[in-house]
Amino acid sequence: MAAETTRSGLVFCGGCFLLLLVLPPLLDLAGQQYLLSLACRALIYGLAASSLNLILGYGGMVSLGHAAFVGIGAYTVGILARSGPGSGLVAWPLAVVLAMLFALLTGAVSLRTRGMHFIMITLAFAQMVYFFFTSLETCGGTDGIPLSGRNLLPGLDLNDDRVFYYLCLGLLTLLLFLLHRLIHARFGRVLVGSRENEQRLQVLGLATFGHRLLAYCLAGGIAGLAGALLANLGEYVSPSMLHWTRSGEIMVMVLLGGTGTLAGPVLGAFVLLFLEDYLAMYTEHWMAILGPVLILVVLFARGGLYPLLAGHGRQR
Amino acid sequence: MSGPVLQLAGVGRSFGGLQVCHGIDLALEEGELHALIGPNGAGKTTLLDIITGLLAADSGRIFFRGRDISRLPVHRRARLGMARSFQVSSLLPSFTVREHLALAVLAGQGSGYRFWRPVASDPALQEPAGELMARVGLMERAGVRVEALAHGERRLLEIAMALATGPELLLLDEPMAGLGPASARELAGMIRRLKASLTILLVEHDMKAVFALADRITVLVRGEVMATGRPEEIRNHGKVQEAYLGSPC
Amino acid sequence: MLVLEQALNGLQLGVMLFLMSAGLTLVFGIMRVINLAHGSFYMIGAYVAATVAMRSGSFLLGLLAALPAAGIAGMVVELLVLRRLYRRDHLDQVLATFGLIFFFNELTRMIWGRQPLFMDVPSWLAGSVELLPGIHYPLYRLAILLAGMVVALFLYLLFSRTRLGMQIRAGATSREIVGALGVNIRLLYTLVFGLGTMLAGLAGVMAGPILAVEPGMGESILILTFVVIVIGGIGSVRGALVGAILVGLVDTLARAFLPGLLRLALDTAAADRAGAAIASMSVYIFMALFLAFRPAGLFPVSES
Repeated sequence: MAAETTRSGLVFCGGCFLLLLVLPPLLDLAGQQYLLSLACRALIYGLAASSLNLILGYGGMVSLGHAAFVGIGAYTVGILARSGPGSGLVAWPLAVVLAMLFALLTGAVSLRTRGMHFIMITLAFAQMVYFFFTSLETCGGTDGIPLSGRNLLPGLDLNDDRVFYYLCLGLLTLLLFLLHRLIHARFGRVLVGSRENEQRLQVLGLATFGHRLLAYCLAGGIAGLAGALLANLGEYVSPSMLHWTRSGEIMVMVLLGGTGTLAGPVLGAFVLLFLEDYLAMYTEHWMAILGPVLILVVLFARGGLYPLLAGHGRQR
Repeated sequence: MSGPVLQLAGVGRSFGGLQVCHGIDLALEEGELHALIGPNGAGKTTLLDIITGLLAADSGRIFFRGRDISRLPVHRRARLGMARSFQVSSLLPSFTVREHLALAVLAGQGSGYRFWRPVASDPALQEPAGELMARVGLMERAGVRVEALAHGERRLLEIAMALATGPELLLLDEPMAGLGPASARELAGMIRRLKASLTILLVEHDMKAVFALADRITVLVRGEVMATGRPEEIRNHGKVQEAYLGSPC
Repeated sequence: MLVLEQALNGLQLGVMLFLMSAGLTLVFGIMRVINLAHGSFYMIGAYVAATVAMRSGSFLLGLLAALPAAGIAGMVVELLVLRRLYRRDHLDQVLATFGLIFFFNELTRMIWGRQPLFMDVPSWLAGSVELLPGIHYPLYRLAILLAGMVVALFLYLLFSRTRLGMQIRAGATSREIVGALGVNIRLLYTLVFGLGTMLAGLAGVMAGPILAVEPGMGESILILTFVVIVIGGIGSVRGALVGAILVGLVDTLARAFLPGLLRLALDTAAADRAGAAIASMSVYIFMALFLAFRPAGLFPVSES
């Protein structure tokens, strides 16, 4: 499966990357600096959506609990920051590790099930995390945790929005590259194979459960990093990051951009967030428009935007 | 190595009230080609499912080289050196022929916990995959997805995948079903050559092929073993002729 | 006794969950479609009942208006959207019904505003009864229990005694059989969906006087409903009944007694904090433990 290596795909991805690279000065020129924060948000959600895509698009695991990992990452940063802004070199890896640990525990239970069961169980586990954090006063209850500033990194001033933007872009690019390697390496082949016909792989002698569980943990860890970044972006940890509709939104991003394509979920994140922002300028009831649009996309525009724009089909 | 490669002792399985396999005893000696025949619904595929672990037996035990594998999960049994082809081709829709074989070779080498090197440019996987394609004559179809393969080509791919893991015991479930006479003859030749290095359990409806290839034959009727013996013994077995061979199938 | 009162509260939550899950488990089991928007019909039931009851002053009229409203809304949604999703994979179903939630939540905001509505307990169900000497229990909550039992009985009779019920049951096991019997499957699906949403609407009406009627109210109960269905086994109404009562009891009793129990081991403040946190997760922990032993739920319906 050499999807991203087709010429049209490369041209499209390269073009998008260059555009993102020059976006901050462009926004300055256009006098639309406020959009930089939105673009940064989209990058971070692109990271979260890409992590979901690893298990959903490549692994065939329809998880509706991805907000839990994002939330665990964000709350890790929030709780550590109660004694003032700490080092990102401590908080971010810890966010990743805790999210992975949660993925390991819940994945071990939920990956024993299939289909609808899996969807509902991942949702229920995520809801458990939501109630855990909102019922603990140490975590700010339903108010969340305001941060007094962004994390500190050696040599980088994260409080500069541009620096933070380029950091997010760099992390996202790095992770997409790693995912690209992963998908085409042995591990990825086994993961994609178990999406298509898990039983056949077992008859060949492959322990698919372990591969799927590891993919689930990796996805959880990346989503945890996205949560840590999200907390830094808004300098606020909100229980709404954990809300189950957030899991749904991340899933929408993946589908909108194209499941099982490397760049699709990032594209989906940008389209969804900018569409929300755009609709919200015209009406406070933008969800009444977005809802039906979503239904229409599912019913009639299968495969997502990325294959449409980059000119090749969905791989499933 | 002494003793049978595969041994079943009193294996049974029922679905609801329906007894599909009952008290089946079977022993495969090293290097033999053992054919399993019987009318449709006799429980042949069910038995293969039980041997590979896709179905659990309700009763009885299964031994592989003397080791009790009755409770081992599917992939552990395969790792012991057991490979299988499926009656209805069981393949991966979006994978090409080459990708199927690379995956099967990978499975034979152990786990898939390698995260960096692309499978497509890994000679440790691609060279054996290429040899397998050459062996079954699918070289020209290397880059084709299974959706676009002809029925006979899928059967060949099934067998190539089973061989890719380097098994000691090969379970073939009706490999010749739906093949034209020419390709069936070719496949029979291939199976005969494999006999030299492998123990094979062959489920097949093509009686001509079975009697030409098999060292021993077991007849399964309504989930029970009716007879086991050399081809000429089976051919002359009164009950078998009556129950099975007499009627055209 | 406090325990009795809390157990009754648990049963009452169980009844509401049963009304929600009975219809949804059938939709899951028969149509094999995962519907996230079931909570929206609960919300529609509550809003219609609250509005009609406020205007007319009669709770009964509110109830009588809400049931067909939820049922018809359900059938319209089935005809327009759900019907197209039966043969799709679960991912598409999740996303489309997720879109439905967005739409319905915003629609209620547009019609009724962001402020929650409040619904009064009808005067003839106000007050409380003395169950045992010294134990008073609100009449309205007892009425919910009774209503739940009536619905359970109704469903039992529907499934065991009527032709429609037989067809529905057959549909939960095998689509092909029903088709072979010459039943109009499309109509059957629409009816089952409508029945399910009507029951959800009933749950919404009953919740009206206890909880605030507000946009998004359907989602919190929806997820508990999922837990019930997973525990009971997808497609099993009997499983939904047992699962609902278990979940109702676990949730209510954990919230009521866990802090107290922890106080035996920890100091009061710590016990209250930990108790509240664990109690709010109790249902999910219960589900995880349950699934570790029975991955297919209490009464698995064969998924062929």
